[in-house]
Amino acid sequence: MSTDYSKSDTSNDSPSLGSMNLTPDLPKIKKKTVHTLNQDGVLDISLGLIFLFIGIIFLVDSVFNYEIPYGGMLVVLPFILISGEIRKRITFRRLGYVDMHSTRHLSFAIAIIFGIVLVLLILKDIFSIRVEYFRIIPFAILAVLAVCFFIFAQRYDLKRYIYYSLAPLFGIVILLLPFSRLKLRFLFSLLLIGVCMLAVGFVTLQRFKKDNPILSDDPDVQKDIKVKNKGSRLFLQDGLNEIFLALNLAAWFVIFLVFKTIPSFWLCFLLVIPPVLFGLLSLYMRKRYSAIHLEQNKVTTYVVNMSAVRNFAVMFCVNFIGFEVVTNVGLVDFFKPGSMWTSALIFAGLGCYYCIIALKYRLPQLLHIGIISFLCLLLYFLDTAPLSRFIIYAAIMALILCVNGIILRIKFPQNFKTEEVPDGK
Amino acid sequence: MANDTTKIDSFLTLSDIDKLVHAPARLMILSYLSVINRADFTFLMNQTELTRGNLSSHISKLETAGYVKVNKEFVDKIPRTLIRITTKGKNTLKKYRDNMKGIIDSLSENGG
Repeated sequence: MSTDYSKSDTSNDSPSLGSMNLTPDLPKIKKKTVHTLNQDGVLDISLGLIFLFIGIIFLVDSVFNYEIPYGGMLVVLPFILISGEIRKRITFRRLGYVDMHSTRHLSFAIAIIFGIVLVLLILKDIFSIRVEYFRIIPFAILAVLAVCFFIFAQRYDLKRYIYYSLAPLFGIVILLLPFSRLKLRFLFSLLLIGVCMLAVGFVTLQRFKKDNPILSDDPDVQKDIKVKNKGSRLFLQDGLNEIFLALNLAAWFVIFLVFKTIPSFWLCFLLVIPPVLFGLLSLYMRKRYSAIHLEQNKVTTYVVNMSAVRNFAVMFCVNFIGFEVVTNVGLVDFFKPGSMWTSALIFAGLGCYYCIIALKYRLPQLLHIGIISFLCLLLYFLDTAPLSRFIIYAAIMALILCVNGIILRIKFPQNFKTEEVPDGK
Repeated sequence: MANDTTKIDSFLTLSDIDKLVHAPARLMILSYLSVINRADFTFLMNQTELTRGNLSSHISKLETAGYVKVNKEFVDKIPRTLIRITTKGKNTLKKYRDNMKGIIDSLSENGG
């Protein structure tokens, strides 16, 4: 496949003897594709962060005797998500989007590694076995890492992974040295690998950004993004979000007042019903009354569906935190049930949500809802119980949302006319 | 005599070759698509170094033949025109590779 195809003639359909040596070498093409995709250093950064944080978690556990629950392992999950975000914002904007089969294999491999570590942790506690007694495990883990990095480097022609494979070998040497405990030496090795990968990853990423300028999107895609943004902006002005959020707050009240004596589990279950119901209703009404003004295509359908999902998410969060305020169950330990911070979370959360969408889509008519939600934090100066405070807040917000929703709904036809929505493909 | 028969066989196989796949640019597009799950237009353009119009024209031909499927999908909330190879496309590529390999092998064995 070494011939320059850029000058190939589109009309040339006849087999030519000159191209007889063009039997495609698929492994080579795959190697090139994976190599191209891994030029960005994102994999290095995410793996480096994972090693670093696993090391830090165990170090805190070991040195400071601070028992970290198994949930502590979840700390690394955001880094996996961040790596996806970096790839989306940096790599795909430069190289274009590609979904490799191997990406799924990698996620599967990471999940297996986590599973094994988690099982080891649980077994350690169940059978009261200390990790130090598994003397062979640290050596085995480092050896497997070295082999994996070496194979990856060889298979996809990524030279820097050969250097990464040397780091675990250096770690094995550290394990053999007679200082401190084996566990600490192992953690030091993990931290070393993490720091190496992180540093090289950042340098690689910077180099990648410098070498690959941002490509202009496909004109069709640019057009779709434009339709999507305009559609999202338009659906925020039809008032349905506000009306259904107000109805949801009213439903929350009714459910709480009527069913407050029932067990918390059933109360929680009942509070999920309004978001589902109103989410579906908003989807139906938006399709029936708002989206009919737009051209019916995949982009419009997506925007309508996403707006319903967003509605459901906001209503669900409001009800969930409201449930935390009124009960002493405490589904999440972090939100001390009934504490002032639980209801403050909802005040600030809804405030942030409305301020962000108002600024993002330049809709000043939504900004005051966010500001009022923030101003409700002043309710903390009132000497009232958390429940009363939440009820006052919910009443104020329901009123504001309802009035705003109705005004927006009435003004919607005018707003629609002022928006220039380009035709979708 | 035997050599002549082999050469005739080779040329018969040559006539079996799918002309649509044999065009270098389309062969390269199919080859790239066969090693990945799906890719957008920009990625293929970047990898194959074809111009936008050229790539678009080749993909249209492959789509008409049913070798690739072009779909507009939302990936990470961004609309993308994604291209993936179909089972028919994979089978055709495999058949093409086998045919070409057979022809080249037979020609080299007979000093052709």
